[in-house]
Amino acid sequence: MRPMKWWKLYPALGVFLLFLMLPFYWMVLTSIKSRAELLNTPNPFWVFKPTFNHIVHLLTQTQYGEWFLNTLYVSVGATVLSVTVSYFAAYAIVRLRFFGARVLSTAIFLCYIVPPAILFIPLATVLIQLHWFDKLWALIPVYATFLVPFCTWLLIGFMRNIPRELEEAARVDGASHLQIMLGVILPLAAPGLISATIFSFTLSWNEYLYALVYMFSSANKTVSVGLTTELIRGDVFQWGQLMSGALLGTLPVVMVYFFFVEYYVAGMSGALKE
Amino acid sequence: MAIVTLQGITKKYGEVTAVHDFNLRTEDGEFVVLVGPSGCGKSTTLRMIAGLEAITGGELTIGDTVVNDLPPKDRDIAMVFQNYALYPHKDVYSNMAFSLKMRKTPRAEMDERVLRAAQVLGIEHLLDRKPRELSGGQRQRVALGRAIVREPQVFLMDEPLSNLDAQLRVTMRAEISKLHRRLGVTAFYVTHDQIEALTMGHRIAVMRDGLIQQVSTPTELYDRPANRFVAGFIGSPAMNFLRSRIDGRGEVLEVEDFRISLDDRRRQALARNDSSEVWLGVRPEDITLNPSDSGGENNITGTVELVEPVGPVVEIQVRIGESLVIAQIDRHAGVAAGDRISLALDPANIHLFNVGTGDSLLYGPGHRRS
Repeated sequence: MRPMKWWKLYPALGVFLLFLMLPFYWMVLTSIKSRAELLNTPNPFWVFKPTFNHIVHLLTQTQYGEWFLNTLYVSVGATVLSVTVSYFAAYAIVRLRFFGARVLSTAIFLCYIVPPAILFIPLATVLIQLHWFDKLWALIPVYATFLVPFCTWLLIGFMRNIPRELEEAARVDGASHLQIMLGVILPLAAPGLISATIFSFTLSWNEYLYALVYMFSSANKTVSVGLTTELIRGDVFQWGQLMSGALLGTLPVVMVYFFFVEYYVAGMSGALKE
Repeated sequence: MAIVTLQGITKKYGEVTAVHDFNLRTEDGEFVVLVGPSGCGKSTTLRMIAGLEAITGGELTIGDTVVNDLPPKDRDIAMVFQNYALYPHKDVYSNMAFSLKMRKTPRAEMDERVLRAAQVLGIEHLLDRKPRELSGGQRQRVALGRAIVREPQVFLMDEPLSNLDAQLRVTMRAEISKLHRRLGVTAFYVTHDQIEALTMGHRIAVMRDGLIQQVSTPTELYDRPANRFVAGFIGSPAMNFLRSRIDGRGEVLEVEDFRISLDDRRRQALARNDSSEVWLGVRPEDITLNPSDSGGENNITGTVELVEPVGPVVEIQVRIGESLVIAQIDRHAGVAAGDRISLALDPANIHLFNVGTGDSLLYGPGHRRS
């Protein structure tokens, strides 16, 4: 492929960058504007007297720290659970060739298509029956209901591309299924697993509906729910604190992407190549 | 080392029979090649010996043990795969040591055995490399090393050379043969390449559509093919087949407008034929150019369509009526396309095959020399 002319490439990239960065810029801007400047400013795209009052207030006067830790706990828990289960499921579906494996893999994908808005009422019944309502850890298995189908589907696509002969060679060499799964296939599936991890973590971190409906005490809220329920009182929007909270809340996701973006890309291409 | 016995081995996938009634008993330390076109069941047979495919019917014995229901690791076999199947995240040492590690071999012994195997294959300087840093030939050696390091009873190879370029294939072919002689272990080798089969095998099993066609030494297979399929599959360029009518007395074959008289042995064989027609088979090197266009018996005349110099000889395609005959002739004969020439068939090397079954009238079922 010939290298593209710069004037064909960069303007398009610039527009794209602007589109992506503008909300982020707005978030940063709002979180460091004083209340007065928020409501009355000659130039809304700039801050003249930056202040950290909102952030300090958020961290000291609200339960934001607790929400943050809650979200971290639930996201990490749900991710570890879902990726582990999905890896075993994907391995079984791709490699064990048991009766109905194909149907099962399609069924798993269909599970992912069912939207949470349809599921949240029946799921609520289940949680009430189990006495899991308003228990923070209950969000971990709840999130797994949509993470496991997605991750399994992603890993199935990925593991189909790992040559079967590798597993057969390991079987002839004397490895058990568990040894093959952990010693031979796992290192090769790493890019796929990292993609699944990033995806699970992001989806759990951003999850709103289940956390809103199933957790009602303030101590059990996640960042996304806490911000919108505690910082919007009636029609009063505490914009500075809302945006500070949103800003801090995106940091873990940004960091996860930052460290694993290369693997993530590799994982996605692995999932799509058939 | 061990004797491997396959008794009535059958593999079915649902209604489809991939391998049917496979019978073979190896000698101790024998090199057996399974050859045939793709889909003939040769790889399936090998994978059944390896334990990677379940056996539907029959009995498989390695040494004194019936291994039908044993998993691969308990069969004391090693296998080399077509795409090498090296573990990409492990270095060469770990690749070769993997099976020893799985068997909890002590570290010192493991080091010694890996190094010894690496020296045999000339890859001891590559032990700390990853597979992706190796050339195709080196990877192939590592795959062989991984198999020999365990000193298995049976060595299985599934088209191990087909991913290499032509020149390397010839080199590795010879190396595997030497390696086998050195180790003296019973080996099964699957290939679709008849040259590989002829050069490497002590005995060759030719397969087609899941059925063994013939099991013989390379010479026997070439000289005495049991049926038309084997005759056509083994040898390059392939044997010529001419559909012939048998004259009233059963002594002479009529091919197109020509008459081929037969020796006593072939006349007797013709008596066993159940039809008035027969396939006459003759190898390209058993056809000679007849300088004086005598037009006598055993001579056929035709027009040269193509002349291909292949080095030591020239291959010519000659149109004779409806048939096209390939002959190998002297490279200085000076034959050109369009020439009308006369060819003589060597009567001692004429093969006869039944038109219905394809069985050889000379070496087919019931006539095999034991």
